[in-house]
Amino acid sequence: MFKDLIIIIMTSVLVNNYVLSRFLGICPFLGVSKKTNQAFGMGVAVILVMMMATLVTWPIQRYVLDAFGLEYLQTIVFILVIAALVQLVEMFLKKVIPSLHASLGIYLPLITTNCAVLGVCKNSLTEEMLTKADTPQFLYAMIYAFASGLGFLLAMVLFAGVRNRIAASKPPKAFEGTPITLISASIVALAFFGFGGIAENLFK
Amino acid sequence: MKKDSLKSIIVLVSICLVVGLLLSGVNSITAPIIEKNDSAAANGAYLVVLPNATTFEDVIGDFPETVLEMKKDAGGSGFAFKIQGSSSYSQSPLQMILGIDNEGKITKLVITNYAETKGNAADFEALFVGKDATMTDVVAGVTYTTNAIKDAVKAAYDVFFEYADIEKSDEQKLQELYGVIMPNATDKTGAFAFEAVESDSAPASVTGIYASKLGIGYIMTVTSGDKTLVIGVNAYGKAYVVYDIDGNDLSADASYDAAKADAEAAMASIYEANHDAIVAKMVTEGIISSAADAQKVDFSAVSSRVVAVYKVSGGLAYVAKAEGFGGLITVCYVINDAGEIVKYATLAQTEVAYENLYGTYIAEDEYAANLTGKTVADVTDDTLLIAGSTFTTNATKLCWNDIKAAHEILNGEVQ
Amino acid sequence: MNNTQTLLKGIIKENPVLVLLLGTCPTLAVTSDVKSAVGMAAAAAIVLILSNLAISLLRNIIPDKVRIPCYIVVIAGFVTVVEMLMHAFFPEIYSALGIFLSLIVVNCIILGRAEMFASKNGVVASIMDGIGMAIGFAIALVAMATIREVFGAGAFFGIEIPFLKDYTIPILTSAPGGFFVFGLLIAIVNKFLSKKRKPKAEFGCEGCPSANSCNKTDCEKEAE
Repeated sequence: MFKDLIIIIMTSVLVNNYVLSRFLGICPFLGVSKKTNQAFGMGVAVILVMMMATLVTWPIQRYVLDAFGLEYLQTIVFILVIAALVQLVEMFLKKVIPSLHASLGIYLPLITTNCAVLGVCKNSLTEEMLTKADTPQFLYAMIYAFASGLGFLLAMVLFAGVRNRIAASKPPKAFEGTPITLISASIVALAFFGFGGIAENLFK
Repeated sequence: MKKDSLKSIIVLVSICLVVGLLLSGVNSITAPIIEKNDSAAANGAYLVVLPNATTFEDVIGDFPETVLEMKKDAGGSGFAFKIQGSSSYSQSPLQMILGIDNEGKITKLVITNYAETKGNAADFEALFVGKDATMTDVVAGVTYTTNAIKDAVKAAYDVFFEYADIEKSDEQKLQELYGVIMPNATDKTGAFAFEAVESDSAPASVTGIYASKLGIGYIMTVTSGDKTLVIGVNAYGKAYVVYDIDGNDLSADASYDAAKADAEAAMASIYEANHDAIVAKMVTEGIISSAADAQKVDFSAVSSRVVAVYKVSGGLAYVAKAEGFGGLITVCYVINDAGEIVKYATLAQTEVAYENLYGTYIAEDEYAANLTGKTVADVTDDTLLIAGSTFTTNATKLCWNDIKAAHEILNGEVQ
Repeated sequence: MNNTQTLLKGIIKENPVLVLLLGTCPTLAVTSDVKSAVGMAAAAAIVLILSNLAISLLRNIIPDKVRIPCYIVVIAGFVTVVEMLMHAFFPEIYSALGIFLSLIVVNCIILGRAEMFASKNGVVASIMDGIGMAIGFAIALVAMATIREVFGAGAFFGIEIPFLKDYTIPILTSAPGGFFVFGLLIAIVNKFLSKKRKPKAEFGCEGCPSANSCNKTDCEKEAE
């Protein structure tokens, strides 16, 4: 079981990184990675929301939708749950911990439409995830959500560092702004290729 | 403010309801189509090899690594397998779908994942259609790929015989009886080696004659009433066991004596000629001075590699056969009453047409020097370890073991 | 602005992907081959046009406070319908698109058009806007996919191109290649548009559907 969990963390963070290899959550990755502190705040907020969303949607799917044959309502229920959850968290933070709200709160509404969150909720319910026999399924899903968020945070922070350097560089005129950002993202993604097969081979 | 909130909730809830209803409506239309598509996609590949199948059911079992899936057609047209080649030329996995009908014949083989020269796959596929478990005529060893496919198909057949749970064909049952009736009739690789032969003199009730390629006997199918019997006839021409096709031992049942007699009559012309040939060879090898010195001893109650026993001056002469590296070897041991090996010789003779003269490959003189003067109890495997070829050494051992067993039965009985 | 202009602006001047930089996830994820790209473009087009239509019809009924959840429900409904229909009638494309088909729900283009256009305009104009944006999205997807498939896999729409087959650049079909080709494409668009106007500087809150609920001022202050 322990080995399973280590493998899922390694794979989600390094190999199947949500942003760099699965193309989920690209908008915030490109939009909120200009400054390292912003990137970090966004990353932490995403980890939180991913875990909370999985905490709620996983039982809903397994014990409500599957049980009543309503699988086709998955998308609509999940997105509403995520939206409501984000709203609640924002209200909670605003009232109880205003300082945290000031630093994280502004990212929360953006996360509602972050496909990485919906992606994690759905992916944690795929057959592959549910057939890891010797680990409690729900625990596995939660670890998966955490690891996916961690991978997002890692990509954000790393890329923010790269962008700091780009800001000082002078690319050709047509490449200024977005294009050079994407080309750099391509190189960062290429670097992550190096982790391919790491989890399988470490625990052979 | 309150009124606003109420209105918001009502609108949101009613939109949810309308959308929910719309979805359940669409779902009721698409769900059956999706289900059908999914099962069609899963079974589509299997339908190619068993086109008349209705629905496929999983067969669960302990399969070897190369057999990935086994499906049974609920309609009873046969079985389908997903198999994988262990190693092909390019070292990339070779996946195939194989159909086997209820008679054990290959309906079709489809290579689904093939990394080698494009276009060759169809040639390979055609090789296997209509073949049975023996895969005769499928040229072995021509390429790595043929071998990989053959191995995978063989594995599928093993699974088929174990799990298919269908009535076996008479031919399969007969093949299984070979080992029961003539356990010694194996070639150098340990496989049972028989071939069908014809006989003009065979009575009508004898429907099939299968000769041991070693020349140590025949297995015959004989009809008796409404039963098909399988009868073993040894090198003495004696029908020593009777089985029915389902493998029940009927040897003790006197009502099949007529069938036994028919079986014995089928190849009657051969046995005496064989004996004469062996005796003639013993004369040339100097074991006896003339044919009259050898007195035939009856050793016909069992199946053995020992094809003939003679009482000669000084003891009993045992003649046994096995397949060595190059072909058949025939050896002769003369053992006296005290269990001492008086003489050893390698007889190599053409008793039956397909036998080759490979006996001379044995280091005959060395064997003779080594064995002469030893007693039966002295001879161990090491004594026999002279020849350079392992197959031949093994054949010598097999012969010796049977001779030793024969000697234990006959010594003291024939004096 | 007349309807023709509404339609045309989505294709070139306000191309959702190449100019407004919306819907980047599917643009990168499903463009490794043209077939998937066409499937995604068609699915998104249906959802975009229908949700624009529905939302412009409902724009006077939906209270301002709950408009975003209402839009999400409507869009999610259409997405699920398209998903089920595709699963039933185009299973091959359905499995090629995978999770990205249901993720159309959170595609910023669709929610963005609902919030910025359909909720403020009439039915006909909204449909025109939807069609224009859908075509713009499709052009971007197919252009991306064509480059990636032709040079990355030596094929087009699954059909092998004999000469290119031997000189492929497989990295183009994987993740880094996606980012690279996208960057290249935007640079090309910038080059052409820059003659007329200043190219769009950066990703920002413009066009983001959550811009209003997010304290935009905070966001930009933070960015300073």
